[in-house]
Amino acid sequence: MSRAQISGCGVPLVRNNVDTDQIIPARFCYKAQRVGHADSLFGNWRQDPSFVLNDARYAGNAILVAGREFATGSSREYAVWAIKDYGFKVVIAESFGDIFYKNAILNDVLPLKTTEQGVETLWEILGRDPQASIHIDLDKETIMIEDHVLPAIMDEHFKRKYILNLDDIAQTLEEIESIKAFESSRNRHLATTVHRGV
Amino acid sequence: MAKTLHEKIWQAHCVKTLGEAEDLIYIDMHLLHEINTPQAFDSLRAANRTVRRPDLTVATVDHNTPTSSIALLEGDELRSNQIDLLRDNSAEFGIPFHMLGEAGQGITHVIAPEQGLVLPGTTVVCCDSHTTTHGAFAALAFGIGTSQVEHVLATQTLRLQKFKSFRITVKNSLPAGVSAKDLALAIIRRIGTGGGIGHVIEYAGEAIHSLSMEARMTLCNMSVEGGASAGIIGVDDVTIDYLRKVYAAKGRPLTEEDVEGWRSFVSDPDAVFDKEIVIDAAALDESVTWGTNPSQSITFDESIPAVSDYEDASQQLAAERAFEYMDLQPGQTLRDLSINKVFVGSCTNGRIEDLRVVAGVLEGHKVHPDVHLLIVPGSVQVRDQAIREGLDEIFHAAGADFRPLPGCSLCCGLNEDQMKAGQRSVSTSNRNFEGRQGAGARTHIASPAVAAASAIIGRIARPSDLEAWGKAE
Repeated sequence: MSRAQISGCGVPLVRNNVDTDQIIPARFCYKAQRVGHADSLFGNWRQDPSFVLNDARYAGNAILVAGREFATGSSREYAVWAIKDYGFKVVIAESFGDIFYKNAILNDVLPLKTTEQGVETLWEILGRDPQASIHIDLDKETIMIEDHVLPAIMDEHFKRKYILNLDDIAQTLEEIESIKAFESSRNRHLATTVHRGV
Repeated sequence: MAKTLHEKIWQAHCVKTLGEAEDLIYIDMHLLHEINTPQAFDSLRAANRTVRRPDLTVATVDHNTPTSSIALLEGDELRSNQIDLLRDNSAEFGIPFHMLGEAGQGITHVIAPEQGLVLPGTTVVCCDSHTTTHGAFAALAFGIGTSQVEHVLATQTLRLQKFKSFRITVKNSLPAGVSAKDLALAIIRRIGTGGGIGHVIEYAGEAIHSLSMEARMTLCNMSVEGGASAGIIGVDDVTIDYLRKVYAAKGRPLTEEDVEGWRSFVSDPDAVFDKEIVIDAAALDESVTWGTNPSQSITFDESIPAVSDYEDASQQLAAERAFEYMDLQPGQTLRDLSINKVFVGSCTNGRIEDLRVVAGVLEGHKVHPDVHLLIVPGSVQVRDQAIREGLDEIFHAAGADFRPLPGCSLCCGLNEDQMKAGQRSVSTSNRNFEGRQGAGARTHIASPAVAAASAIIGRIARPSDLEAWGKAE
């Protein structure tokens, strides 16, 4: 199956404005690695036995469905690392914080937008049927659940980036001659931190 | 064709257009701190890559560092490890590193401007969302994740999609006592926490140009709380005067050639923005957040809204959660709320001008016995300046806890300064998120003047409340 088609079960996070301080509170951001953050995901909220991640019916489900403005706030990439380590491959939300959105794609977690109605539909179905199957098709731009076909919103640029999953740095280093040419014409009076530092 | 300010900077930094949607953008200044960088250096080494421009990179410690004594790091393996990693990584790749307490150290967004590293028309990035601060200097400045840090270290560029533009024109002037922080809170209340997503907000209008550089930094800093990718303000005489002073103090006076080029870093008069709003500064008042996101704020003349006051279902849901977390009832006013803690500091309001405002309110008063007033300077330079001006004596006489070491401190609760569950603070920082200042801690975001008045009265208050309060006491 191509990377444009993803299927799995979902976890309804019935909240809006879930900022990155909730996804992984700062005091959990102490490991100097990109992995090992699964237990820190929603670190404070998981103390509450009724929190959805503590509901065994959703264990192992790989698609997180949140509301509006998911992961705004702090730039901490730990938020994506924790989501990925926990086992989520996709986050569906009505909108995302800018920095998180890019962090997610760079870490091969799919940040997928849908409409407010799409989120409501997913929350409603997942709330009553934790094993409901979700089928995402990025080519057709659809999210299918039961007999609903919901919009999968992602601009072509980011869709292609996600599907190809290329190494950004390696690609940019292929442009090194352009970077050198730019540097040679750069204003020499600009601030530096060493040598000519003020 | 007429261009906005950020489009001019973008074009001047476009190394190459990559396909239809992406440009390769050169980065003039890269700031690093200890929390979000070790993974980037590890990946760099694993791929056998190096740091392309250590001379355009600077590292400092700020997020997890103690503010009362450096000795607190002894035996604290987790925090020491993050600091040691940044120091060692910086040494390995030749990046200047500012160790805790040394001259030049402080919060990234406080030290970079005071060292003259942020110039008009440049691009600035940092692994921190409040990088938006530097837009005050007509720089295109925004926060990035760790993977993008690695990209900048290796290439001194980023692959970026164009931002959209959003102009907020603030007409007339702010009433006396109403600060840039109040303006920021009013703007976020109006546009919402997602109103700026994908956009660079350009602040324009007479109220903006009458702000000091410190106040502009406060305003641009909070842009990200409205969801914006960046905030930016065009160059004027205030920008240039500030930079002249910074460079003169460092012994390298600016040349007229330096300065004249900067004057072009304003939006063209007929530039078209994707989004525009106008705000009347004269109608604004001191504001404080009551809820758990920065858009939930009220003035002293208002009361905490009811759920039914919000038309939008998602805002209703957010308000309900906020009442519960903050232990509040609709109808209460700010002055009804007793507090345990006041925090003055952070990249939002930890500069010398902020400390002067706080000292001005505190002078001749005592901090309320139920309140701990924590004042953390934004940098070593801010601390030293405060001491030169005698502000430290005012703080001590009032019973405030003025810390000797700079850092983010109680803004993000990563060092020893954390609040206990159920405690209530007034903070000059930027985020009132659940758990931000400690699990279960309740945060009210406000200006330095409101923070100082609240510390004296023991309830949320503003300086003009002090007279009536003094008589009642």
